Amino acid sequence: MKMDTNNQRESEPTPDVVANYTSTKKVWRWLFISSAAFLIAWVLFPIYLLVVSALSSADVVNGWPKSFIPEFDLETMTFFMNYYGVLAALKNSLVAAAFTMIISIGLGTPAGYALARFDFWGKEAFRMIILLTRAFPMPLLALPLAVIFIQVGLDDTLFGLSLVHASLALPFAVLITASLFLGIPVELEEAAWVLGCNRWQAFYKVVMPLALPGLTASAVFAFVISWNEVFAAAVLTINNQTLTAFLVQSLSASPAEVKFAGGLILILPALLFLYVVRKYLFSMWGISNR
Amino acid sequence: MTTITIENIKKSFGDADILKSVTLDIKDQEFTVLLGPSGCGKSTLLRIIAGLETQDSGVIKIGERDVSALPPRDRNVAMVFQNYAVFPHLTVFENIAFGLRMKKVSDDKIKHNVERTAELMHIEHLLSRYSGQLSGGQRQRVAVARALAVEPDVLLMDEPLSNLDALLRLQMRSELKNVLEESKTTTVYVTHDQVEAMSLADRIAVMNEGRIDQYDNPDEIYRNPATEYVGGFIGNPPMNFLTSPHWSNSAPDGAQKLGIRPEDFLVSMEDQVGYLPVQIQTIEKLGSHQQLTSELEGQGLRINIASELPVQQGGILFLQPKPEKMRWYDVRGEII
Repeated sequence: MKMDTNNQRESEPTPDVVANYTSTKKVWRWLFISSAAFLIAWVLFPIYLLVVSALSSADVVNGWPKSFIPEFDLETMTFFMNYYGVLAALKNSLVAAAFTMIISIGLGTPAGYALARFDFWGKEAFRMIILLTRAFPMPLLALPLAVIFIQVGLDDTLFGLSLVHASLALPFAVLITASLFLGIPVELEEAAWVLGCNRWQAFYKVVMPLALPGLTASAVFAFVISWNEVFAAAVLTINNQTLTAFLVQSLSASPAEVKFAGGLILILPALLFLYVVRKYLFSMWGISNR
Repeated sequence: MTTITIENIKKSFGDADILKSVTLDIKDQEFTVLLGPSGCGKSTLLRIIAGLETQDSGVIKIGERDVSALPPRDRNVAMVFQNYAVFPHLTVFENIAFGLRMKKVSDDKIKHNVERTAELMHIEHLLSRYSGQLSGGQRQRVAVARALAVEPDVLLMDEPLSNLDALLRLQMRSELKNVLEESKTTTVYVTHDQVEAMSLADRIAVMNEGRIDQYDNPDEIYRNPATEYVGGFIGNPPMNFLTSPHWSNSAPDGAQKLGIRPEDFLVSMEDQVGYLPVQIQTIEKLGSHQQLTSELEGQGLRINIASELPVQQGGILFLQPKPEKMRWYDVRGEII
């Protein structure tokens, strides 16, 4: 009889164990939700403060105590946008970012295609070296680059700056496009060849349309990298400053509310673009969003 | 007249010789199946005919034209791939029209050809769909229609049915046979499935480690396998091979092995003159017949016998190979 009861105890979990189990599950769930909430707040709270401050008048930004209800005042933003040099810097930033986008997609797409479709000598080395360009910090590179740029006459040009930004964006462009092309079955291209296409036509008619969303994402990513870059921009441009360089140098002495306005203008395009292409960034980082 | 002449084609990848001097003459309007296990080089040969791979040496002619050095687009061939390769960004209509558009055919002719081939493959109601909205079988139909629409000299098919489920494969097989007979296009078809090969082919080229062992019609391949390899590959269960059977006095000079199909025995339950005793090891009742695995003087032997014979596991059965069905093979495994 004693044996029997023992057996029964072992085979069926007691209510105690079940309760323990569900409460452990609850704890984990709670932990998960709270850490997710913490991480979201970590990112969103500064952005929230930035937006609120940028859209408040100078008095509110510098005053104390803070009101819980944010006010909506375009005075600071208007002041910032009319501040001498801002519009020119904004234009420079857009031009440099556009150049960067064109260079990194123009070079990155063929390189990515080669990585995806061909076996060539030194392929793995190439893959490594491409990443190596990101191994050196910009402060280390910026000064020698500035010297070389002065020698060849590229100093203080947006094109020169775009070259530097493209070198930052290219590794991503190459690796993203390579994985894009890997995802397109080679048989589709072969079918196109047999049906009368040469290599370029097959790429243009079959591969391109399928890769286009991903290529756009990778272009936008290059744009954002250039848009956000400060150090090289600050060192390599003087008269043709981009917005980041301009903000670093001109606004250090500005009142807080103007800094906030500048910050908002800086992060808006980046946020917007990243939001638009988030699906492709997830897939390139190996995170599924489904 | 679209013959295909393949002369001394060689191809190696690194150290591996995939094709060791392959020669093949395919007649006009003939349906040739390249049959062999994976790795025998059959797909490589097909891709060389298509121009998707380049041979190391040798000549390929389509009709009178030497196409050895031409890119795929200039060979006027069409190909159906194992995974269909239907363009996902185009409608079924545009998929079928793709090759015609590349040839700059007039819109009227494109419409006419697309509708005709779509009808032939029973997909005329799907013309405005995209490949994502189609089932595997429908995609396969689109791929075949796309290949036929360009009216190619040669149609190449690389295991086109192997991604379909069993029932659909049977249905597509007979349908394909009709369509291709009607289109009168010279066809080269790659498969590892011997039933598919036997049922579709005018002639089968059985490939073994980069060589063609035998190129003949299905009956001939089944009845007179040119090599031990062919006999062992074709037939289910395959041909029996018995090493130096001392009981037979009909062996020609140099004969090493006797090849005989499982169904080519006279069977008796009692000992008779000229019959050999075999011990039955396993019995598989297959309805129409029984398949026995038995042993004759230490060598395994598979026999198909009538289903009503009362055989028992471990029992003895008496056999006589039908003399006219016996095939002899020499040391190299070639038929004598």
